[in-house]
Amino acid sequence: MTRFLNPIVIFIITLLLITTKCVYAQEISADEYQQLKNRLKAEFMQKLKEEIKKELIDELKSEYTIEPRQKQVAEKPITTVKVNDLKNESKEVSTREEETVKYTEHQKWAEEIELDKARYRLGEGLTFGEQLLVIRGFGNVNARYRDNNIGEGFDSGNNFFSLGEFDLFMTSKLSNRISFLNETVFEFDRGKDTEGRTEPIEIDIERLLIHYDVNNLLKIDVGKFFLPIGYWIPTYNHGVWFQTTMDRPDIVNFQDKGGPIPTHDTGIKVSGSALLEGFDLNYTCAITNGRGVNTTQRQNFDDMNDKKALSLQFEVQPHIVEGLRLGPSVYYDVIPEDETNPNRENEIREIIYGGHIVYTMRNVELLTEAFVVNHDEVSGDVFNTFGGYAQFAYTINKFKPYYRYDYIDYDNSDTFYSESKFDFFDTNTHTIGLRYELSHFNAIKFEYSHGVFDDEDVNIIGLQTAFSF
Amino acid sequence: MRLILVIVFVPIVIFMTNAYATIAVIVNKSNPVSDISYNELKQILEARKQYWDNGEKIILIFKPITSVETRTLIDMVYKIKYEAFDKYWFLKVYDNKIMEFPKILNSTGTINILVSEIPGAIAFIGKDEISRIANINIKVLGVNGKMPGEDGYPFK
Repeated sequence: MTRFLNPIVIFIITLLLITTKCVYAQEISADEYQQLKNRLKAEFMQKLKEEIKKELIDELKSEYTIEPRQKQVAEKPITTVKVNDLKNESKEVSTREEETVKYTEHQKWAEEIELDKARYRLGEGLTFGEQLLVIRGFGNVNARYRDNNIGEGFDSGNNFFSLGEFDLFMTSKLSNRISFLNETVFEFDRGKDTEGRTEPIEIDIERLLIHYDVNNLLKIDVGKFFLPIGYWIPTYNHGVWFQTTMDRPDIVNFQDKGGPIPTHDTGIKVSGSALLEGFDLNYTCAITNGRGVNTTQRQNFDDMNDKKALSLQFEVQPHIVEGLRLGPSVYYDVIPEDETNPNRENEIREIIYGGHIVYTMRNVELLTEAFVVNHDEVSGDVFNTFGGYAQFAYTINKFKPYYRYDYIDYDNSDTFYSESKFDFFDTNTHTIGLRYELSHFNAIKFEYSHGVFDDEDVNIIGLQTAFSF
Repeated sequence: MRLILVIVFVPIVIFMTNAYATIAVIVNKSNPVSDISYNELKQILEARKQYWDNGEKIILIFKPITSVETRTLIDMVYKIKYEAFDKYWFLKVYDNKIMEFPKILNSTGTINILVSEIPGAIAFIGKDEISRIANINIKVLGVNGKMPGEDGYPFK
């Protein structure tokens, strides 16, 4: 019986194997086979690339070990081949030439290293020929739909495409402790230019400064810079790609776009950080020309009065809660009187009190700021404007959903705002949106906002592509 | 069968991609610092501290973002996504908090040369690469009193 059992068992096993093979053969279709082939090919190529890369790196490393190699070349006897015949002689000459070329190259390279060493010892790190101008930039394009137009500034249609800013950001190191920075923005604005043309392009030098880096406690900027008021103004400013949302919060909107707070100014700024036990203390102090007679007048070239604006900001970064930054800021200025406007005959003393609490860690972004703008006319009238925002965002892979609440309550009798060419509406806006990182330097933002501007409801849907280049 | 492969290999792949490197912190030999606290190192890495106590400007040198050393630092110190590392530094340059981007160099040989030439340089290489720098003008910093590989060393 057992004599018959073994062939049966073998037959059954063979049958099973064949069946299994058939099953597996059936499972892999032509497409799957092709995919498998492609995958294996790709893996093989990747492995090959890595090996080549490794070899190149090793080669590079050995190139950089200049001293031993140089020594090796120098110590190596040049006459390595005995001169027995003409053939050997020519071989020897060829070897010697190669060695000499190698030695000269290494010597030249070693000299360059020595030169670099000398530069760094001088603390310069740069020579005139090596000075570089680094240009980066930002841009954005928007599409919007709104269901209600409010104010004189909103007399366009209800849906439109718009070009955002074309922002060129330039830096150049002048030495290890001195640098230059410029940010020039091309803005596409509505309205008319001096020759009556519509849609002019406005070129704004938003920042132009020279930076002196003395130590951790003292850094000096001279020129035009972001004012140290709150968090958003000195952090994001024009780089729309940096900010999570499509637009800036209303309270920190640019002066020339109807914002109530000054954002840039010309003067001198001193800043630094004290790294203390338990927390970092950052300070920034700026003395600038201050505001012109209205919200849009720039004072980059001169000042209409001798009274300078003073900004002061402190910020604490406690070590116990990583990513938390909080602190107060204050801005003081005397706004000159407007002789062309009978309602603005007096100077206005302006004090802006601000405070921010910001938490950015891992996937969480929480930004909150609040401001009080106090205008005290010499005639004795006092006006207060309150405003702020709270923004929350959470990153999930390439997506970043966000929500923001904006609030501004203007004092309607404040002539500085009421006599401006902009409409300063009381604002109460909720915004929800989604940011998607399409690539490393391009983000798509889609958002919906519902706002109440002076009791008028406005719903806005927007889409933006923001990029850095 | 495929399911088993997935169950077995996916966690292995995930584990391997998340593996951390033991990082050695190297500085120029002329630097008087021989041991640094983790907090101070974090301040340096975040560019909050930009000068050594002797007044030398700190020059940060990293390996590329694809390297396990830099990824370890991003996970442990910066706590951001790898893709956000460039943006992190770009924002600092934009805010004028730093004058230039940190140096990112491919080759350990080049890193060694720069650290040996720049008095204020600080770089982060793999622990295994320390042996290659024995004869150069470089030293390895202790962190919280521990050297790379010792128990209690924070970057491993």
